[in-house]
Amino acid sequence: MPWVDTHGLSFDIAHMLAGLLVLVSFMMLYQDRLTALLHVLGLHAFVLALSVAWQAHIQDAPHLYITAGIALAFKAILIPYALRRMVFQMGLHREIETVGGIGITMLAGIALVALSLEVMLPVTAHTDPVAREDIALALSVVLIGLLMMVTRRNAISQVVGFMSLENGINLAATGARGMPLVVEISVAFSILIAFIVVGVFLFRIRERFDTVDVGALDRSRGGEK
Amino acid sequence: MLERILYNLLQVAIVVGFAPLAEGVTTRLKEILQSKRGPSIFQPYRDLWKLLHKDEVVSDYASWIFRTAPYVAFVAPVFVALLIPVLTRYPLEFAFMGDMLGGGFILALGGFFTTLAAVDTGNPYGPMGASRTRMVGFLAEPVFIVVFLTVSFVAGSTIPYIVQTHWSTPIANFFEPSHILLLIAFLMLILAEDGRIPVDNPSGLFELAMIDRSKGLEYSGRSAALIKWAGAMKFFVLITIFLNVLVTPWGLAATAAPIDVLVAIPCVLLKVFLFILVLVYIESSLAKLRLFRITEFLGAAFVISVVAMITRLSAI
Repeated sequence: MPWVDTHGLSFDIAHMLAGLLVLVSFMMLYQDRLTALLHVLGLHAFVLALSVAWQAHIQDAPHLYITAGIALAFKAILIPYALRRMVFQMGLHREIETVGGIGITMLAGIALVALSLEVMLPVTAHTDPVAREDIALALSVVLIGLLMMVTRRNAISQVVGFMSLENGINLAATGARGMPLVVEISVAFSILIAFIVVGVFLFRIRERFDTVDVGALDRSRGGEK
Repeated sequence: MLERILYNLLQVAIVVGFAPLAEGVTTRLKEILQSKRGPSIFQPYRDLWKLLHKDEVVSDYASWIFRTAPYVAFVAPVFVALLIPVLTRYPLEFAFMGDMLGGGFILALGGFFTTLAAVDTGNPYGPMGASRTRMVGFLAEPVFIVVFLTVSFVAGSTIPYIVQTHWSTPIANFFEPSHILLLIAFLMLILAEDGRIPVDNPSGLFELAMIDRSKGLEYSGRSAALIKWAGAMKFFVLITIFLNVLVTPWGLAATAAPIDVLVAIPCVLLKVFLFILVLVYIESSLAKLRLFRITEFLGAAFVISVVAMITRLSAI
């Protein structure tokens, strides 16, 4: 295989961090407690920050350190902490209800990882080897985030799925050389805004239906149940 | 030639000799973490000595399986210790008698006999523990197979010595994502196979909640000593495979010079000690899972190992 010879230490550490991000995504799928899930979300963002910082180091691009800092401050600390406060303020039931079992969800996760590797690697065959493998793993993080949003009934864990999805996008973006800082900052702020909007929504949903189980929304729309 | 046989026997002696010590250190550290003093780290040796000098009580209804099982259980890890790299980087005399799958089968044979013996006597707790061990066993089996298939695919061989060299040369191989994922899957496998805390409580004394330990309840005297010792050795062998083949393939003797091999002994013990620190941390910070959550725990290990295989097959 032609790309094997490019394996150097710095490439492999970049891949290892991307692989760890996939692993932490699976840890999210495994969790069935809300607070533990928020801790894992913090860990997810922490691994992302490490990965971005490593990219900054090997690409010699100092502005990526700022990206890493943003990931660490906002996504690893601020957002999980705020979500945690929300859980306690709303006095939520702290077990997560899933659609289908955890085991089945994780098996679906495997299929998504296989799919994203099979799709991305041939498509990006002629690009920079670090970027292409990072992008393949980042796509699986994104898909697992989506899977998480689909298979959880609880609105907070859906938010967590969304946040991990965004981490995946971030990983893909930093793997490709030359993402401008402006883009990154605006993405970070749009995530914060999205988070605030979601937070407001959660409180509204909770006020109206006495639960954050999104199944309740079906009822109000006139669906079954 | 002669020295390779000698070193091979030396590494068996190390496994046999230091396995109870590893258990003693684990117990002591756990007690210290709970703000107690705990028994001496040499307590397992004293227990073995005491048990070896006691009379044995065997049920009238027990068959030959009950009598032979302790010996089979004792010999299995000793035999595996011949095959794995404990002290040296290069294969020793008996290394090619069996590969990793062979070693796994031999360890499983010991487990098989103790399971049969647990059913043999008619003690109600024995079969219960036996069936639970089988449940954990067959859930762990796919993880075991996928981990070893991936490892042997990576190194192009199922002999542990060759696998170990692959991970450490060049150093970049160590950081492959598939390697890190395999490490985690294998760690979860060790926790399950050895009955450590998220799966089973090794120091629990409540028969209804026991998984692994309830198989040895009927044994007394010398057989009990052998079963205990065999358990400690199995743990030591699993850790040694984990450390010397996958996690830290360094600090092993590179040449046949006696001094190198002797220096490797404290290195191995130090690595085992560091692993025990991690293990004690895991065991003290987690709660035991409900029996039916074990499926999810080992399912997670399986998922991780399959992801490792997929990333490896896509040549990442």
